[in-house]
Amino acid sequence: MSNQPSRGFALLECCQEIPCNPCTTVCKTGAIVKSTLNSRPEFDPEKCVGCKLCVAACPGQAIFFQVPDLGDGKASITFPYEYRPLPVPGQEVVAVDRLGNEVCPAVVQSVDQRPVFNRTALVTLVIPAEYRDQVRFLRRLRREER
Amino acid sequence: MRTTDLLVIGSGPAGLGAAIEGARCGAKVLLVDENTKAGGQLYKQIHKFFGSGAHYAGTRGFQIADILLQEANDLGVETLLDTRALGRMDNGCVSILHQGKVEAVEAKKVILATGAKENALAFPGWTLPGVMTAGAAQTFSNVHGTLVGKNILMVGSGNVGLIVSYQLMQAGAEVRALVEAAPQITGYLVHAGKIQRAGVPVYTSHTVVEARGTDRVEEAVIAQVDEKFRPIPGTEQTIPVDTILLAVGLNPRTELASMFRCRTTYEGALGGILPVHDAWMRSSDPNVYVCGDLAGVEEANTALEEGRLAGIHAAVSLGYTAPHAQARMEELQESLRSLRSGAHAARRLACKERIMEKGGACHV
Amino acid sequence: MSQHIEEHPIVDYPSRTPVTFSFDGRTLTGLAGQPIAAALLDNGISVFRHTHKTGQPRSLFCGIGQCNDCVVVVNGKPNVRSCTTPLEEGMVIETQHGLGKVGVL
Repeated sequence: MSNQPSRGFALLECCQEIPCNPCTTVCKTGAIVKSTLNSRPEFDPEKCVGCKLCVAACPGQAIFFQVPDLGDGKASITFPYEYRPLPVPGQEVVAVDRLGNEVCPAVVQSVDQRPVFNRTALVTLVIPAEYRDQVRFLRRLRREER
Repeated sequence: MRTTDLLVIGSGPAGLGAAIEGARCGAKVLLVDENTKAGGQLYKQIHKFFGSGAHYAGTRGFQIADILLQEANDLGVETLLDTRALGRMDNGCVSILHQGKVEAVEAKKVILATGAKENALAFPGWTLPGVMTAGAAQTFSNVHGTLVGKNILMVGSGNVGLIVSYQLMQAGAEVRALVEAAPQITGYLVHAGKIQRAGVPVYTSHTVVEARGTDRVEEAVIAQVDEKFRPIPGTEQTIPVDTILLAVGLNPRTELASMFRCRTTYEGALGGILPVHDAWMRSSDPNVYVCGDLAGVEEANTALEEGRLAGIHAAVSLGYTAPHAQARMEELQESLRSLRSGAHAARRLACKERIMEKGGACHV
Repeated sequence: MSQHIEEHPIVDYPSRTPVTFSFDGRTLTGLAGQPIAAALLDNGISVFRHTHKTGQPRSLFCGIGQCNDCVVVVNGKPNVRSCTTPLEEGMVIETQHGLGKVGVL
């Protein structure tokens, strides 16, 4: 991971051949390409500028954004979040893995709701760097927890 | 009596696609739908769609409906809502029930886009209030703003079961478990991933064996199944839920196609009995087209493309022309092939090829 | 309004006017234009009818007017599909018992 750009990169966890290509159409730098509508996407981290448009656009919510090293043993992970209530920056939450199992405590760094995301919020968590390849979501907040 | 070039029955993605393309070619189009709102199931689809970005991928279903309805309106498609097509009369006209009165429609070509209906699943307690189709829960949550329950068991891991589970959590419900009789998740794994990250336990090789409660569901009993899908005694678990949702497949709504005497075939992977059609969506009757879920249960992108193909072909066969109509039809056929390529779609493609072989044989 | 969705991340529901209606003699509040079934569910009512032979409870099933499981009596008229019939001010809604009485129309 040491030669990865410190600004971070997209993680494409698109695991099946699905007729779908918004990731390639929103990517302005050509970092994501698909050879056919059905093929799995190919990603060039050198071209990724960290705009996160693909994270919000993926209909399968299968793209994440990772900054592997924030410098103090921490990493950050960004994922789409379409539930209410939304977390708020600074909030302490429980980070979970791909199956919803608790991994570690986390702090919400940002909640990005750009209009171009079409009502998908992007939540970024700061987590211990050792968990950066496990954490993919937060334990969904219930109304009473807000 | 109303007269029209094209009568399109059903205003979901297939019917809208047919109406738009027919009208674009210059044909007079009458679109009827039994519901009070056009758009079919699109208005219930609040997630971003798969498909090609060149079309509507990444756009939410209800936003696609708005775009298509505007387009149909701009092209002068006449739409009758709350209007049920009853059948074909002896003189060839189609009878419709519109505002409480039966009327006749004389149409040169009829395009059937009647969609599909959800399958049920019978088990002890399945008639209790709180057991219903996943589509009912989706309609009530996404269109009417009402949750049908707070604690849910979803039965079926196809895309409907996965997507509706996700959407009910978005609306504030808890999905306590999802059971799937097959040994693996049958829908897209990325849809499954959304609900798994949100903490929904997915039990494969499991089914619901009983709904318990007096005046409504109070708990569900699930059990593991063997390789022949028989529940294994001793594996039962009780889950406290108030709602059990059935997402166990759909089957084509073929009633009108049968009245039109369209030749049918059986394709289990596409929902069961359905009318055959050729490569341009013509049924065994050259004046009757079939498209969308009626012609085999797939998804909205293929329904829309099939509808467009039917609309252009029907209009062109009446002598209307549009720039590049022939090239457009070839493009649509190619687009359908593309949407049906990929490992996940191999079975659907094989079914469709058989259907088109049988349908094509009707017109040689 | 226990099952009414107050906040949704994606959907902006149309704003509707509150209306009053009665169900089996109780005065309840709903929203004009919402399906009768939604108004009943919002009020915590889940049994819409009882079957003809054995009196078993029934409720919403398909939600789109196809299965006829959710029928109720509205203003004296039986067999009204609660899932597709819009709620109106002053509606008198009753649990349907059996098939509905002939001639009540």
